[in-house]
Amino acid sequence: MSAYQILLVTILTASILTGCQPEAAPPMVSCYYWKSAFELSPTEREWLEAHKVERLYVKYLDVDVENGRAVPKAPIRFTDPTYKDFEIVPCVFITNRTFQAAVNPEDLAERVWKYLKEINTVSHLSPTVYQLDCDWSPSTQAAYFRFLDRFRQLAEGHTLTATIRLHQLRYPERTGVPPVDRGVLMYYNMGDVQNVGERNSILNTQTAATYLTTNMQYDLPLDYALPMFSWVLAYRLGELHAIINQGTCQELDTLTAATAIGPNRYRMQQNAYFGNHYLNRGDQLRCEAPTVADLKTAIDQLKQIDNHCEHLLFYHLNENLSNAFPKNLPQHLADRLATP
Amino acid sequence: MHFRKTSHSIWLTASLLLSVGVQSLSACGPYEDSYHYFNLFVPEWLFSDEYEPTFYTANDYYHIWAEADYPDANLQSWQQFFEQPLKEEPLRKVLYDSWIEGYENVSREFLVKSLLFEGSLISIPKQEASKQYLLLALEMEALANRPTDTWGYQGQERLRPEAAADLVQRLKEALDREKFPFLKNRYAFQLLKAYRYTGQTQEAIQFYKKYFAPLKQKDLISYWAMDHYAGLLLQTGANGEGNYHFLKVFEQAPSRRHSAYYSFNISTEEDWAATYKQCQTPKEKALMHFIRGTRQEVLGLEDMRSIFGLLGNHEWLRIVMAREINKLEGNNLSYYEQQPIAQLMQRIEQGQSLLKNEEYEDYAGQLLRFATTAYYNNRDDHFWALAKGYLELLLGRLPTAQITLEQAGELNGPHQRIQGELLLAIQLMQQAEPLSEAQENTIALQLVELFADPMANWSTQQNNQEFILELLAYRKRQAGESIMARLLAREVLSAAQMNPTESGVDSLLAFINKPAHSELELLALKHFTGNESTWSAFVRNPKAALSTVRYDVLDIKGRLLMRDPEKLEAAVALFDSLPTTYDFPLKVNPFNMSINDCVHCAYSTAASFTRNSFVRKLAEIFQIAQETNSPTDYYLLGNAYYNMTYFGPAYEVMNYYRSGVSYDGFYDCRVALSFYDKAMKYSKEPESAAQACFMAAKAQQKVFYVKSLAEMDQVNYWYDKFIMDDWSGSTLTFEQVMGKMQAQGYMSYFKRLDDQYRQTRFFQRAIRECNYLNYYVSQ
Repeated sequence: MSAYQILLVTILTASILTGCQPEAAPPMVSCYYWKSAFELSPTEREWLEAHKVERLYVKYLDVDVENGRAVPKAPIRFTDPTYKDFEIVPCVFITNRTFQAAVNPEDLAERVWKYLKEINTVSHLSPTVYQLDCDWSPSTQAAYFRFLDRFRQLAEGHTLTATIRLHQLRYPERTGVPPVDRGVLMYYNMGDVQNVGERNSILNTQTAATYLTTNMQYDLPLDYALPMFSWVLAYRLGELHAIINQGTCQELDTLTAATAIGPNRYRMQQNAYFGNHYLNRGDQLRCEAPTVADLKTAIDQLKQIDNHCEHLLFYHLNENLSNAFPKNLPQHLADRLATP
Repeated sequence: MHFRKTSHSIWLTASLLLSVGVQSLSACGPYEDSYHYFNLFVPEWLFSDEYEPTFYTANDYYHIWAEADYPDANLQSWQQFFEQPLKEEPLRKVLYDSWIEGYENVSREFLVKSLLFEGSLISIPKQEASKQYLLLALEMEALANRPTDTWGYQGQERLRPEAAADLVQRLKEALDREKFPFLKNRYAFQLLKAYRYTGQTQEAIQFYKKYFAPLKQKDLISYWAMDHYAGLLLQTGANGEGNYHFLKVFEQAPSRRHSAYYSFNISTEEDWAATYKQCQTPKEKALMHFIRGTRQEVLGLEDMRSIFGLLGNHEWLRIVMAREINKLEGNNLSYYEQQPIAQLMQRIEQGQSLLKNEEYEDYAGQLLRFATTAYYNNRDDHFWALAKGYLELLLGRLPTAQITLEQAGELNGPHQRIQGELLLAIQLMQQAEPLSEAQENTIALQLVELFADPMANWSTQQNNQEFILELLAYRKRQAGESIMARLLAREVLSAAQMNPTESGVDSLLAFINKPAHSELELLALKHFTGNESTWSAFVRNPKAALSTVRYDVLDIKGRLLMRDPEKLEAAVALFDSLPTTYDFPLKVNPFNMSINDCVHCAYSTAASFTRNSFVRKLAEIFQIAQETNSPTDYYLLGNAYYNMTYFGPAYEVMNYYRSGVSYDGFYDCRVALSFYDKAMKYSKEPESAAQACFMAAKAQQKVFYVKSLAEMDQVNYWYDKFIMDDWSGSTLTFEQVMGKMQAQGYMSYFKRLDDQYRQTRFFQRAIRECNYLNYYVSQ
């Protein structure tokens, strides 16, 4: 058999195996904006333009509980008018303990909806999609889903999306499927941050693999969110002490008070400030960020899900995003997802 | 009670004097809000409560708080200004908007205008000037106070801009006009806030510099102004200067210490250096280390070293050390662990420390080295002996700890109390042989005196005392002295009455009837019974108290005997042996029946029985029924045994309490059921048989409820699930439960009633009144 024939057979075999499906359109690249003051830096703007990002998922507020009452926290302030250049998807992060605190879910839905409308009015925005983010547990599932039911009534005519964690994807019979129009699978924060021995709690594809099966399905159409952030975890007296957002290994390399004790691991030799935290001698630090290879593996893993992803989101837009990863990586990952 | 709470809130609310309520403080301690850990190194014992916010707390949720005016400094300054003190309650209401009995429905404005100065001897000009100021200050609250409803994106309902501008203008005019320096400073303070809360940051800063900064004598309100000024400086990025001013407020103004403490917030080396540069004395620098070293997120050792270097053996140093020790307690002597004392004793027996990992041991070792140095350099400061001894204890070096603490000699006050509890803990942890009677007598006295507990309340808020009691209970449990173990584990009579067992009651009686008791045993019995005399009075003559507790327990035993009809005669004899005060009139006649249960209803048929006369009658009827097989007597016995259960209106005959959330005491309806069976068996008259059958159905239903509840997942349990009235609108659940009852064969008496007695008058009445029967028949 000639080389040409071998190639032909290979192509034919591959076509049969893939059902001769044409390549689907790659998902749109989007990203989260998770800071409470919306103000794009030149680097961030450049990144958005380079990736032709049209849609931004902007955290409008957090909801947490204080003295037994649900309260809004860190509401968004649009200080930079450029938000009008994007389709804004308002996001609300609600802590699980809010629902543990026996707040009335319907009442909370009404308050949140009213609050979102106030932000839209002040900011002259008319979003068509909303996203709710809560890592619900068995004890809060009923309350959260009642919240979503009521929110859906209030937001009639809009698309309602909710974040889905890996365990919720894997065990829908245990965790339930939220009553929304679409889900966003959060493909990060999958490791055990409490564990000082954890390799990478942000994106651990070995851990992720245990949650996925070939052709697995979910009762909601899903978009995917991948991590593009870093942090430093500080352990004190053998326990997690602090999460230092956006901290990097490069910064730790230049921190004279810290000494490297292993890959991505450091120990404080003296007290010092780092990332707005006061760290103490003896504290152990672990810097974490996803690698390009891990992100590619993540995309390959996500292909196992029987689903058409419309938006590939990145968490989250910040100065480091463009510096830490190759410029074309997001689009490359979106294309890779669409490739059979 | 000293409620330990801390906060990092930097909200500078206080519209002068006018808003937040004051919590009462006293210095009892220890009290850890979270009930989180055994706290033996009690900061409330060791230090003045002015440093309370720096004390360690393991509960983050209680961090956000701020004293409006510690310690009533503002109220006192007003009284000084008035010279002729006003009645405190209305003034307190005006200043703090506190809830004051008698003034609940009186507005503060009305108080100022009409009541506050009523009958006062204060000069009229001073009164009028004060009124004007207070009314304007009340107006300021609309501008300055924190919103109560946070669900508004646009923020709180503040004054409209025009109204705010008008208020600023009126404050300026009032400031210019005011002649009393006391009030003038307060107008200036209000104006500063008005600038701040109308967004005029630079005006506010300039105003502070012009008005307050030059004041040579700074009064309370000047420091309150400085607190705002410091916040304004931080807003403008002058972090070093801002933090330094918070430092000054913390140092000079106890009434703003909380606010300043949590507002002093340094997160970079640059800010630390800039603030340090502002400090003019070693004390100010040491204060920076003190504030940082007592923050929740910091291990304080390095800052302790700095304080020591700057000031030597200062109180701030001791507070940080106490805090670090509390931190070790908080993370290692957990209160909520399963069997925490057993785990701890296991570690000690294996020669380990009381700390959970090497990192803690390493840190405790560093603290110990520091404490040891301080100890040898400051032998007259007994704090360091206590710190050294306790750290040695935590590191598992019990003999060394004992030596350290004993060598400190006879201490006084709180030092003596901590020394005493630590030595007692060491003794209980390491003494292999059983405690002698003399030792137990001493320990009893220590439990009273060290913890200032003359009534033997053994309050759960004193968890250091609980630690000692837990150690004692553990030792007794290990020695097989189960009664003492139970009593030392704070079991009380009411708990023993709730769900007693015959063996438990007999053991308790045997313990009470011992010919002699150690004082520790007496103390435990005193706590068990809730005896209200002081320990010294109790221990002088325990016989009377012991006979009371003996009667109490015999009464429990009598009620237990009643559960078995064969033992009714024994119960009668026992009740007759008790003082007459143990007998009581019955509210209902237990022999009566009703179609629907109502445990708290006032039945029209008043009972003429007392408990004892009723039990005597019950025993008689039981004997007659057995001898004659009288269906009527069996029916009456059934009624009595049904009504005396948890479910019946005569529950108090057998039970001391009736829980609203669980089946407690005597709730076994099978005894009643057996009597109804016999009543039906021997009855020759259908109406009576139908009545007995119906009551049997009720008893059977309760047997099902008890069984179902025992099998039920706790998550699914809710209050009074098995009461039909509570099923309103939840037919599905009701039907599920009824279906389950029928499927499991617990409706057999309803079936029998329907099959055999449908034609009786009683059936016709019952089906009208009983929804359960109606439901069954309509299936």
